[in-house]
This record gives sequence, structure tokens and C-alpha cells, in this order.
Amino acid sequence: MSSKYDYDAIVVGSGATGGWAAKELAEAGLTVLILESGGPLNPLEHFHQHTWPYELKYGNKFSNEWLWGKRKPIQSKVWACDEYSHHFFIDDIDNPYTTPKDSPYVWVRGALVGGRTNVWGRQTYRMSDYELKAASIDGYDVDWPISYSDLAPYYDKVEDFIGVSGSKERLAQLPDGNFLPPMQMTCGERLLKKAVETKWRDRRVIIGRTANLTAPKPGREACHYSGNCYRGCLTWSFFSSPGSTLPAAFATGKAKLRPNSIVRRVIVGKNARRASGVEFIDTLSKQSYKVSARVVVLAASTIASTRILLNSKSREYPNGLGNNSSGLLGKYLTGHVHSVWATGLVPQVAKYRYDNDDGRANQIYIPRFRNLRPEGKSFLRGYGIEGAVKRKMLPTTITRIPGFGSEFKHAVREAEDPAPFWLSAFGEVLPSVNNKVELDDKVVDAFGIPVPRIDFKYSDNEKRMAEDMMESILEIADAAKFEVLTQRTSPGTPGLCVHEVGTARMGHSPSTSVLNKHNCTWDVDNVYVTDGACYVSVGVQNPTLTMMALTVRACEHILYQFRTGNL
Amino acid sequence: MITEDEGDGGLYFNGERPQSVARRVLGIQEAIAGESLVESVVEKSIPSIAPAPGLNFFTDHEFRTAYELTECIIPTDSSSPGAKTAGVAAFLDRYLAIAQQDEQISWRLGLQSIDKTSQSLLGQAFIEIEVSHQEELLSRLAKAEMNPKSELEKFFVIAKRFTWDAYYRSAIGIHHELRYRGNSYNREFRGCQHPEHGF
Repeated sequence: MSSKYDYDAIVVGSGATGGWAAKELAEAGLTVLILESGGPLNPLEHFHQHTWPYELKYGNKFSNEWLWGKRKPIQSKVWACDEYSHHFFIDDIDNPYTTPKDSPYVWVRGALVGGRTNVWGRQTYRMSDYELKAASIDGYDVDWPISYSDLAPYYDKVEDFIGVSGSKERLAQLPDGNFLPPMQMTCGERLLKKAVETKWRDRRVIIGRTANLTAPKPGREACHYSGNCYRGCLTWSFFSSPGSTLPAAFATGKAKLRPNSIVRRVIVGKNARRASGVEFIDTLSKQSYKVSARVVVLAASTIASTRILLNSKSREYPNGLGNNSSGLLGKYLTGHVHSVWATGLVPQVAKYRYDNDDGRANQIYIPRFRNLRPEGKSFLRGYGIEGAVKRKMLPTTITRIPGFGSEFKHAVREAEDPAPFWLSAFGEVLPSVNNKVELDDKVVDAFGIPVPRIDFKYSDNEKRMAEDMMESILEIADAAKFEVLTQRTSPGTPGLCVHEVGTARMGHSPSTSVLNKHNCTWDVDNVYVTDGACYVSVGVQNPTLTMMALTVRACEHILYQFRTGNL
Repeated sequence: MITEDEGDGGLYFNGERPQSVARRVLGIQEAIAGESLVESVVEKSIPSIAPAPGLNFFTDHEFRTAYELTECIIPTDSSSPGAKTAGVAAFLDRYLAIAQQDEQISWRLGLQSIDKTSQSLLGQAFIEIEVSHQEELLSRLAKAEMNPKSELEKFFVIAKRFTWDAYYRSAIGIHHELRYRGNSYNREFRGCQHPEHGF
């Protein structure tokens, strides 16, 4: 490789997709520089895997907002930004963004190497053609430019490496993967499965497909069921990039990672179809640097990658890099309808006591059963339902145990009370050109970089879907004779499910998309975007697995370009 | 004018006993000893009080009251040590130092109210009366705990909940009292293996 460039490849971001890009490219012999805006990860300092509440200053008793709301008013809205794990989340004051007044949006971001893979929920599902080709089915918007059969080999490769525990179910709408042994269900969950599958032939209750090892992999132990993965895992038992893909990249000797480096823009050279590299700001010194490479892979996460492209304005690209062909850069921001849930009690399992229920960091899943065939529903597309029946350390109904003193202690110790349940749906938000990310030309972050302005609203389809979700959840709970105590029908604040995708969609032609079907921008031949930004639609499934598969596929194309002399 | 006591104990204000002065000043109803409990008017703004040395929020007397109160709620018994050994009052003191003002006021006034009740029933502060009398005093409040009406009954609910919550966050509560097996190292997750549940 010529020394004209600092590196063969620059990968922006060290999270789920950045780690994969670095691994794939470095293992093929390319020199790779990973630029990560967050700080270095130090497991001994940052992981609180077996930490007890009494080892924390405030016993994890205060609300997140109360403790961290000053510097992290947005991040502290996420349940995981608590006393154990707040350091995994970004400083909002240094890294602001804006929204229209009437359209709140919660943009959740990581603060350390590994990004949100340090704290993610690990549910791992393959998309099916019901989602990838949804437009062909219901006529709304456009299909993805690829189908399930295009992605399948890459799903295989990703699952084989990261390790996904699950059960084969032979469901067309939720393709099976190459699974490690599935985890077990609790008593209440088995009752739920029996009741649901008896009553509805088209509904299934399956154990969650989770990116936790149930058999060891090189350098990583199998899960030892201590629960609370989001606090850190010293045995690297759940998938995170620092636990698997980044070490694989470093093992080649070809990959370097520079933390505290926020990329401001991609630089295009004299040839407008070629990027020469990127400009980044050192977040500690605020110094600006340029670094050159033959190919740039943006994997900074959906909104961050699009922000970089928008900030890469130039004479040739007045509206942002990659935006000339379609004008759609920033458009079609989408995500999940979320936080439609019910919680309550399972009285039938009162006599079955706690047995490390909360140590199994996994849940059950009810795969999509809506709109797989014409049903005459009032909404398009579908949803899945997550849930669990898991006891905790204290009796579920401790607040109803009367009295005090030794009698109270005894009653708590010996309680045989119902187990708690929750059921919550995730559904597809219809992609809309009106949901978008632009630059706010009046606001810059602490490093002088213009911030994104996020403009997102739910449409009527989402509201009608939410009503149907609630109806399904309640009839499922009813079938299982669960006692519902609380429920919520209105979708949660946009962004808070942390499944944001879109804004640099892939497609068949330059006039209708930002990226081609290999994740390369139509306008610039050596800039790839492989994180959630590339999605055409979000589908039902949790999105992280699919973007990793897309990254592997895109890297195969990059390597092909290198071999054939195009890069 | 303050005069020395005339045999009852305590000081008088112009011949009037302190308790009745307090009740009159604060608009409190005269309590019928042993029959009902002193109600207090909740003051929404109180002057801030500097904590005692070594404490973060409480005065010395407040801390000792909380110390006794929490132990009453979760006592040491044959099963395990109680709130005192578990450090519940010390945690409460650290907690209240940065808590919302509403909570701070709630506790401050609640502890005062406990003392007033104890004074009116037995002529002594809560920390000075026998444990059995402390328990009896709390029992009266606990009777209403599922539907508390007076400020003091509501305070009991707050104090009870805080006490057990803090106790079960402590090493003694988790490991000694409950023998909690979670947050540990396990080779497998057995889950439900009951045929009656469909296994």
C-alpha cells in the first residue's frame, strides 16, 4: 500500500458497527484507524458487575435525573444511566442537539469506547422479507434494495462470531439463526407460553434471542447469570465491541484506535468523487487534526454519521456530502413505537420461590403476528412483544405487607406472593420524509461542531398501532390469567427506545436514496455508511444485529474495490 | 418571663407549661393524653438547620431519633441484626443531605412530631422512652398504614418504607437477613423445571 495515505481505512466509531468494520478490514490486511469520540474504556474502573448497592455512595436509591440531570438531562432519562452505569452515557451539556418545540426527541449516546454496546439490551433478531420488502406487501414507501437471502450469509457470520443464544422456531417472520443453546424460562413464562399457544395458533412465546454466550468462545466465558449486564461484564459474556470485535481487530496488528476524537467532517479532495480523509477534533485539547485514507467508513451511529455528512459541506456538496443525488440526506428518520406496556402480578406461581430469576439477563419474545397476511387492520406493518416474569430479591408485594418489627422481617423472608410480569411492544414506525435530521446552524457543541436538529413526530399509523398493541397485550395477559395492575397505551417519547435508524437510506437509484446497496454513497466512491443510518425502514426487530450484518457485507465490497484497484 | 419549674420538670413560660405554649403557638389541638395523638401543622418553610459535626444533614438529636426509630421498624432479632447495625440512619443522613427539599422537610417535621407525641404521652423524647413504648407508639400509627390520614400516620408510612428499603440495600439486609443468592456466579440458569408448568 502506498504511503500517500496515513491509513488504508478510517472507521468512525468503535461501537457495534465500527468494531465490525475495523475487524473485517484489518483481518484482510488493511491498516485501519478507528476514531472514537468517547473516552477510553477501563473495565476495572467502569464495570460494576458484582457491585452491591451498599458499595455505592447512594445505594442506587436516587432517580437518575436527580443524580446526573445537571450534565446529563437527556441521558438520565434512560433507565440504565444510574449510579452503576452513568459514566457510559455522554455529557449532554458538551454535546447538545436541538428539536422543534413541540417535537421532543431523546437522543441517547455512549461516552466511552464501545459506545452503546456497553449497555445495550442484547435482544438479537434477524429481519425477514416481511420487513425488508414491506413496501411490496402494503404499497407504502419503498423496499430495501436487498432481500433476506442477500443478508443471510452475513447474519450467519455475525452470529457465529458474537454468539447468540436462542431456540429454532421455524417462523417465516423471524428467521432462525445459528444459535447457542437457549436459556430457560421461568414458571410464569411457561404458563404464558402454554396459554398463548393454546388460544392462538398464529402466536408463539419464545425465549429471547440474546447476544449472551451460553457456551464459551475464545477469550470469553459463558454467561454466569449474575443479571445486570448493563453494569459491565468482566467475563465478556455478552456481545460488546470491546469484548470481541475490537480485540480481533487489534490482534492483526493493523488497527489503531484513537479515543477522544470526534470527527467533524469528511474531506473531499480535488476529485469530487473521492474523499481524502477526515477532520477530527481532539475532545481534550480541542485541537483539530486531519488524517487521510483510501476509504472512510462512517459507523458513528445513525444520527452522528448523518451529522458528519451534513457537516461535510463544500462547494461541490453545498447540502452535505452524499446529498447531491437525492436530496434525501437526513430524511426518513425512523425508529420503534415503544413503551406500550402492561405490568402486574402472576398469582398462580406464588408458591414457586425466587431462584435467581433476576440473574437471567434475558426475556421472552412474542414474534410479530400482525399484518403477515391481509387482516383488515387499521394500521400498516407490525410489532413484536417482549416480556418477562422474573422475581426479584424482595417479595413483589412488599409494600402491602403490614406492620413492622420482627414480624415484618419474618413476613418478608417467608413471603409466598405472586411474581411480577411485564409485557411491552416494539413496532415499526412508518418511514416519513417529514421525520428528519438537519444541521442547526445556530448551535455548536463544545468542540465547535454544528449540532443536529432532530425533527420527529409519530403519525396516525403509530397511534393506531399502539392501540392494537395494547389490545393484544391485554388479551394475552387475560388468556394467561395474569393480573394487570398498570398499563400504558401512548407511545413513549421518540428516541427513548434507542433504536433510531434512517437518514441516509440505501436504495436502487441515486434519485431515491443516499447510499447504494453496498452502503456506499452514490456521490462519493469511497465513503461508506454502515450503521443504522443506512436503513430504509426499521422493521419490527431490534436493529443492532442487522446493521452488523450490513457492515460485514459492506466491508466485503470495500475489499473487492481494493482488490480490483478501484480504491 | 421564664420561671423555674414547680415540680413537674421543665421550664414554664409565665406559668404556662411549654407543651401548651407550643400547641397554642402552632395552632395544635389540645391532646387528650393516651386517647389521641398530637397533630402538627405542617410548615412548608422552615429555617435551615446546620448538621451536627460528623453528620451531613441531621442534628445530633434528630440522628439519634432516626437511629431509634429505624431500629424499631427493623429491629435486631434472632434472625439478623437490625437497622442500627445495618447503618440505616447514617445512610438516611447522607441521603437527605442531597434529597429534594420536600423530603427533607418531611423527615425533619416527622421526627419532631414523633418527639412531640412521645412528650405528650410520656413526658420524654422518643429516644428516652423504653423500646416497648416506642413500639407501642408506632403501633398506633401503623394501624392506619394502608390508609393514613394524619400527617404523623403519613410520616410513619414514609419512615417504614425508607427503613426497609435502605435495610435491604445493606450488606446485613441482603446477605445476613435474606441470604439473597442473586448477583452471583452460576454455571447454569435452571429456570422452571416443573411439569405442571409445561416443562
